Amino acid sequence: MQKIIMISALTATMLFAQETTQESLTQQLEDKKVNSTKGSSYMPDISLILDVSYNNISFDEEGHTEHLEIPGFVHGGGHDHDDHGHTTLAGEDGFNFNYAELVIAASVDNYFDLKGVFHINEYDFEVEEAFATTRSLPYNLQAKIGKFKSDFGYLNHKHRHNYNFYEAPLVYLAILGDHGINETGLQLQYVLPTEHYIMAGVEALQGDNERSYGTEGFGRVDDVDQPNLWVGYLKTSFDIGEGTLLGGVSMAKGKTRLNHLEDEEEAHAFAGDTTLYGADLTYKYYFDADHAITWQSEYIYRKMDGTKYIPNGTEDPLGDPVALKKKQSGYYSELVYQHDRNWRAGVRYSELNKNDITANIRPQDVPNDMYVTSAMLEYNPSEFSRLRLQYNHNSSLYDEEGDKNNKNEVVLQFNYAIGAHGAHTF
Amino acid sequence: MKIILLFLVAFSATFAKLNVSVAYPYIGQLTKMIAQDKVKITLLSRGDWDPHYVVPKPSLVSKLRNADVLILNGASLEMGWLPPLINSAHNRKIQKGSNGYLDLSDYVKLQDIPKNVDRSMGHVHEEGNPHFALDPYNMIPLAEVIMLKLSQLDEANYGFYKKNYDRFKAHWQKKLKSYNAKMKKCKGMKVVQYHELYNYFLRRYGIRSIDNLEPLPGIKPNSKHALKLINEIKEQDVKLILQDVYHEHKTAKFIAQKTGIKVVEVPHDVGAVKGTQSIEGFFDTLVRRVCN
Repeated sequence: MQKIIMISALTATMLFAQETTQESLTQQLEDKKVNSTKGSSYMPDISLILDVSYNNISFDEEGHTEHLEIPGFVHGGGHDHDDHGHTTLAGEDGFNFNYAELVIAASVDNYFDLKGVFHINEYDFEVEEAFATTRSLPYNLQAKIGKFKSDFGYLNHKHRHNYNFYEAPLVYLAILGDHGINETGLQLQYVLPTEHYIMAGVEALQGDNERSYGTEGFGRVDDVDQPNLWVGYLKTSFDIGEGTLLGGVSMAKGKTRLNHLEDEEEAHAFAGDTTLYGADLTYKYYFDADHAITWQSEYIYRKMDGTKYIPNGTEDPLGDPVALKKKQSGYYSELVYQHDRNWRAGVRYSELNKNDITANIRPQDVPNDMYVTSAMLEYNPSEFSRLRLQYNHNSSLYDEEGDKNNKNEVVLQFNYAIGAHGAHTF
Repeated sequence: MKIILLFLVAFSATFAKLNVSVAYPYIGQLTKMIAQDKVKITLLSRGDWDPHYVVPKPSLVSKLRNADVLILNGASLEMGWLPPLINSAHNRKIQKGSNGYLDLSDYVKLQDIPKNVDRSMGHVHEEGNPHFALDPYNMIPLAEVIMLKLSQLDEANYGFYKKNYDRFKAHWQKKLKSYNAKMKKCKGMKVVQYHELYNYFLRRYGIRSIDNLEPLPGIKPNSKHALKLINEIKEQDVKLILQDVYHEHKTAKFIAQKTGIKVVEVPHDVGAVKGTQSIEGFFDTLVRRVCN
């Protein structure tokens, strides 16, 4: 008994002593600060990015550009989802105001950071992203809530001005559309306690995507319960000498409701399930901090399974249901050489290499020879301004008669950023 | 039973080595002098790299993931590479404002604070010049701050850290005297430098930096500015061009050729050139190369 009392007393004094030393150390550190008011303003970080280009577009068949499509992926003509200022597959000749991007970010408090990314087009104001991330979850977890670009694959979460080329590669545009997977939902990420970088993440998202997902029913087809889209991924990285390898595998699964019943031509709708599988691999070799070569590739496989409805003039607005199955895939591979802080050059090849579609088990006759090749040269007068010259040979477009119509495009792109200094990411 | 428990608590506290991530080599060396092998030090960059542009490799995320404390230079020097790494590490201990986030620039009086800033002035840091580690007089206060931070997080070794700090302080005060003596003859000397890396060092010893090879901070030299420099050098009797290791050397060589003055390659951090692996070696080399 005595022993216990003695130990308790000892512990108490120890604890007490500890507290006072601790307090004194903290006080001493605080007293040594000479710049405690530095950067203490409550103004969030604000930046504005402007992207304007001059595009010179020509087609093999100039007369057949009204109903361009990427068969099996993006159907052409009549409809326009792009009512928020995105150009259609034909593109716009001459000067293009691509976007102005407004970014506002700051810490909310000790527990959360907030970031908003707004796209301002000529006539619209879009919330590209607006999310809060946690700062203080235990066990190396981080949660994100709001509307954000998914971390599926490598390129999906990047903003357009961080692309190495003028636009997203063909495989992204064909399978995920202009915005990629950009949804409202919740993300949870975990960095593993390993020597090499390994990060695992899951996302629960509402699940509306112009090309692959959707939740709103039509006719007798029910709405889908939300969240509808589930995304998971695993990313890892290794340093090999001065080179770094970054790789990842991703998966996205959700229900699909695509309603094009109001289209003037080829009206149709689709309801079913879609699963995406992605794999990406990036290798960067640094001669020094701003002299590097990067090889980056990504592959996406899409499996769609469901029912297609084509109105046939009868009383039923959904007409004849057709069992539709799609197994499709595509990839891109790009090589970018950075000579110094000012000059960069690169080439990219993107192809849709699989386009197997069956309707009521019958294989459909769809082309599978769609590709785009691009080359670019960049001059960055400073970190905050960029001039880019790019050439695209787009051999993925078909006209209403089912004939290929190659598109050749030269783009001179101007990109400027003002405001808070954005850091570079890998 | 209670005794065993108490021991366990005490031991686990002693055995868990503090994981210290440091942004630059000089911070690593100061930390090592104070903590020796009581902590595990992880360096995020290299002394021969441009401190503004460290490649943000994912491997750095793993290093930060496991850190108990992150010691950085601050004053926006890491602005271009560190923030997204901290964010990706998902480590609450090293978030800004947390106990494990030590920004050294909070503890140093910064110089070259611009009255107003605009990007047309180049890449100017609004807080002031972040290269304060180039002043040997800043080593003692920085070492003390690091000692206090380590002690705060690892109180069991407070005595050890304090002892090492006191020893360093005594030694460094002697070094400062010897630097003062060595640098005396260079007082009033005029130099040009590539980037305003050495201002703190030069001002300390009364050396005047009259211009930079880059026309504006972070902007590459051009021929117009080089011609202006050549004239300035001739008119004002400039003695040296201070060249760092990571910028191109051509412009300095060209100007030297046209003016007949000397180019010296001077380290900007520990490990930038041979023989600078310690704080002492670093400042010895700096002093010797600028003033001999």
